[in-house]
Amino acid sequence: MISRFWALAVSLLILPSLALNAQGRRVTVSGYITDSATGETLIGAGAVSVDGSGSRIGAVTNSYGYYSLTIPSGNTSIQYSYVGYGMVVETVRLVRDTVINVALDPSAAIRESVVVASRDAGIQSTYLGAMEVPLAQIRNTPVLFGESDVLKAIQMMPGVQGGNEGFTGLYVRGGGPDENLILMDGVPIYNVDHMMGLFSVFQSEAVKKVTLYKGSFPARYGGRTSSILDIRTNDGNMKETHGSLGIGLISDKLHLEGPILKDRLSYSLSARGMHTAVFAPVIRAILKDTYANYYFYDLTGKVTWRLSDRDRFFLGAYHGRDKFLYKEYYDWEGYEIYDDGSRTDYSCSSREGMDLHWGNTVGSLRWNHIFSNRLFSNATVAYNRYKMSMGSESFEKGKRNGVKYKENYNLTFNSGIRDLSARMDLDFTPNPSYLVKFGGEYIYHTFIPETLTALEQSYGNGMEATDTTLNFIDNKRYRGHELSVYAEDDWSLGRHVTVNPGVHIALFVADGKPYISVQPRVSSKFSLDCGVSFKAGYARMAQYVHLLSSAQISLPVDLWVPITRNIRPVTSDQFSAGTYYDGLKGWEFSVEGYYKAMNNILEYKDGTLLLGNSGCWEEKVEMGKGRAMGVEFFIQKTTGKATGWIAYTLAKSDRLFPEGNINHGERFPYKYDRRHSLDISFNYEFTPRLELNATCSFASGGTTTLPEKTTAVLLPDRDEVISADYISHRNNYRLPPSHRMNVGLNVHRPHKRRGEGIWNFSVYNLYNYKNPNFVFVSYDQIYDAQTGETTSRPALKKITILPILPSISYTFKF
Amino acid sequence: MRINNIYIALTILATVSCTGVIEYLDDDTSYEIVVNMQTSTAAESHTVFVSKGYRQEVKGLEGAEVTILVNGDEVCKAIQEEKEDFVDAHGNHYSNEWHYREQARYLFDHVFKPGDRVGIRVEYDGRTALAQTVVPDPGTVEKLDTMSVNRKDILGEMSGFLEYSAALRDVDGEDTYYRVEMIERKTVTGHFEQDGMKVRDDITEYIEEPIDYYVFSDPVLLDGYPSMTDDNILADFTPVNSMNVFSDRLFPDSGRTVRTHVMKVGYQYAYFVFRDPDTGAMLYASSVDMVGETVFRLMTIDRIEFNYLKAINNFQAYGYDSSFIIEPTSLPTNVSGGIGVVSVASVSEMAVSLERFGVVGREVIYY
Repeated sequence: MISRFWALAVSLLILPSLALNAQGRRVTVSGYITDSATGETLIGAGAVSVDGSGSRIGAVTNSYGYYSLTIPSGNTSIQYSYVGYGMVVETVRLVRDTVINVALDPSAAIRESVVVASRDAGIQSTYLGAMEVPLAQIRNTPVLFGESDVLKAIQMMPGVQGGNEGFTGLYVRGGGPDENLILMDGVPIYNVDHMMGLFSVFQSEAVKKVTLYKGSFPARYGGRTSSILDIRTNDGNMKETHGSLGIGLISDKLHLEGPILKDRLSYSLSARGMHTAVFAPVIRAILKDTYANYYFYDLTGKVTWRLSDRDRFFLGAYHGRDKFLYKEYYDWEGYEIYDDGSRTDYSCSSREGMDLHWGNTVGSLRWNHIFSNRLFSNATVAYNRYKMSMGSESFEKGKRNGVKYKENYNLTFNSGIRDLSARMDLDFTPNPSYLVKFGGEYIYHTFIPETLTALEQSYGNGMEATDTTLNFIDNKRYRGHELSVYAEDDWSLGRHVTVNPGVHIALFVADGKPYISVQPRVSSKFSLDCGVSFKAGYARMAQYVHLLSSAQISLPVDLWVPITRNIRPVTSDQFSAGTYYDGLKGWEFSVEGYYKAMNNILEYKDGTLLLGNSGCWEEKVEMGKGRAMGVEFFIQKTTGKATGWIAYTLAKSDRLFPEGNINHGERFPYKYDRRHSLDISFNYEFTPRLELNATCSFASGGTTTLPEKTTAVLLPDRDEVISADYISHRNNYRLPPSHRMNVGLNVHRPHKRRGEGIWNFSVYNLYNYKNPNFVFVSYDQIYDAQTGETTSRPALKKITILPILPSISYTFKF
Repeated sequence: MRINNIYIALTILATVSCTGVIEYLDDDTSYEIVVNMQTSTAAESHTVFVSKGYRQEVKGLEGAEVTILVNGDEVCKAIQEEKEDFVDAHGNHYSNEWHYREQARYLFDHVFKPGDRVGIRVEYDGRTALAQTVVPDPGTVEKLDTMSVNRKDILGEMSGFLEYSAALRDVDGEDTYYRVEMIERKTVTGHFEQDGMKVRDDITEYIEEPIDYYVFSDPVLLDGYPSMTDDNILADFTPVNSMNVFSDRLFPDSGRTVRTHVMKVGYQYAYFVFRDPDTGAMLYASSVDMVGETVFRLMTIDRIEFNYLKAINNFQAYGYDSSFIIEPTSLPTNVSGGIGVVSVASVSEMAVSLERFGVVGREVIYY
């Protein structure tokens, strides 16, 4: 099998070159397409060669802004363009391979691209379910407290649900939140949530491009089964220093980027933090002996070094934290008189408290190297850590009858995951009909599910001094080795047909057991001249890590665990097909259907206590199957003063655990099985200084499990029944639909000297609809004024944590 | 600590949130007819428990017409039991109005056999609920041995046990589910003497009762549940196999020897207490004799009953109410037009002579 793979790979690489070399002399034009104002590389920009006969050959830049175009030698015009930038036309006479780096001017912006757009995503690409999320949409989508959020914007896409109302979880085509591979410059981020999911860790100011894959997946991605979210951050302005300073209701943001050495070395730095981070002394002054605080912060940075036309280096880092603290202080003095008349005088000061913090730390070093005009490489080494830590302390020191004493008890709980990785990606363009991508990756995983230790210290209390560390839970660290290789070819068979075959092969060794997975990927596209195209695709994916979670919100105590000897990798097989139309200028229409079958998905067995499971989690879960199917309708207007889209999804998802420990072996709806979802995004630019953004969302209710009746349960050999909650099946109750409208207004005010200020006025949940975040049973005390009696009525209640929320923020850009 | 932090997190959310009523549960006055019966082919008399399951409570359903069907034919009607005092194994009577609050009991006599298609039809107030089950073919207890052993009990202390080794034979060709009971059938004779003189006639009672047993490490009987000696700081909330159910997944269509353990004890106080058949007075014997047998009973059940009893295992671990920190447990049903579980198990059993009690005497002696 492996030897056949290498034979296929070699064939894909060599044969096309041999064939086409027989057709006449060709030359390769390559280089970077950048923003003329910042020097930032443009991902997905187009380069189209138009010869004298009108024949067009095109290419687009890769994830690093590099393009390679092989065309016949001679006179030609090459049109370079990108949405939001003015087009540049280079008329050249080509006799040999040539490097042409082009800078596009954003001030001459056009609102549409005249060239074939990105090969990686969108209607023009071969991939199904692949979407580029416009940055403007991310920054202008009105969300909570005026904060722009990458994941909240993605929830507006068809096939993507947000899980619990208002939270950032991603549930893509019936998959769970741990089945999404979220990459920041190619490095996975494990926990992407602040405030238990109200905000994501990504700052929109630092983001350059966001691409979502949810249907057919490029072979270069692996390790998750539902979606790939590829987020690229800014490289830094090579020309001038620019930035922005934003003040909002709950957080402040700072973004700075600029040259260290003009056109050679640049930096980009973004920081965000909650106001409460600086309120600690104020809180302490108000609460006196009690201190409580919660805050989060993010730091994102990158240094880009353009060593030469062939070599570029990128040093990137991210660090973010959520922190919750609670402390109580008290001092007291007193005495105690005993029965025998003796007396003991006390004086002491004590401190009790707890702290909880969690977050990610990521570091990466990348090297782009151009071997030749046709061969581009990217090498990456990265470190990635997610850690959650909880601690509680009880400290007391003082004097008893003048004798000093001290007692200290600290409890620390840790959980986390750590990765070291190395990756190599190569792009080879033998000719315009082929774009071959291949490479490999190695990841060394260390999983630390749970450790619980205590420190006991005591002296001067009349007993023997102690200083002891106790390990209550010290679960073994799981180590996993993940090795993968891939190859894919974007192959144009004439004007109308493109095919992208590929394969991703992965080896994962955990607990001494190897798992090999061969994951074929194929997508195809047939396009007509009238703008109609048809696509079909198949992708097999495999996943080697799981997130053990049952709560309806993202909790930092959720555990990342690897596959083991007994728990096999999750796999998915997805078939998708669709029809697309972009023949009407400024409009895009698509209808896409999918069917996804999942194997070895995990859920907790019936009756499992959702605590302390890392030591024996394998015994508490069961492997089963899932399936998801749906149809997604998407209409988008991309040009003009009014832009936006309408996305409607009709979907169904369920689960089956045949062993019988979950729902007695019968199929049941998935927790986030929402039949209908409708998202409307609308943007209107009244003037260049005034723009309105509005979003409307509607979704059928998800499911939860609630007792339907009270039943009588008969135990064997017993002569009586016991009343019990009757639940016919898991996820038996469908929550009411949720819907809301968010509105935002951006007012731009240019400053005389430099920059502009932007006022944002937004309202989240404009008509204050009480969407259910949690559902529970409670008893209302109803007072009857006429009778004077109070009765207790059982009620099914909902908690809404996000009512109407107006906000105002100010951002100064310079 | 995790639970505390979950509560803190939810408390924070609750303080910044608002609540609303989706619906009042007592507005729903509908009920489900609940039909339960757990019996076997070894019994001649059976009890059907019928209730009304409302949203928030369950009540006994009196006055229903309960018809017993076997292989499609109506064989008899079950008659509602008169409300009587509860009578224990020693013939003691207790008032038990509360006993009938959540259930109405309907009694009938019939002997079931493997292969019977059993139906119980409950008709009430224009509604009909029909429970249907098939009596499964029995697995077989081919051999039963016993051996005295000393080993650690669930508290970690050395104790005397009788180890019972039962050779089982599975039913061929299908997935089969089982439950194990251990029963003692014994004749207890009390002797009444004072100062060496007999003061009244002996009193003899016949007792048949289930006994507790332990499964320490047998993988077939544990069937994936933790053993009873696992050291787990959250053991109080960990479901164990308290209903003693298992499937044939480890020994399909073949034989397997399983092991149970019963603790050896001295004669318990209760065996010294007798009721005077003439006066009804409670009498304390000066000595007792006990003879009888210990029965290893293998009950072959259907899949519905198997899943039902596994759900009961979960309930026994953490209670019968739902909680957000515990994955919910759903209950299967084989009642159309209602809910509940009706089951007739096939029985195969083997007995050995009763051995686990100590020497006679007024003192309670422990091994």
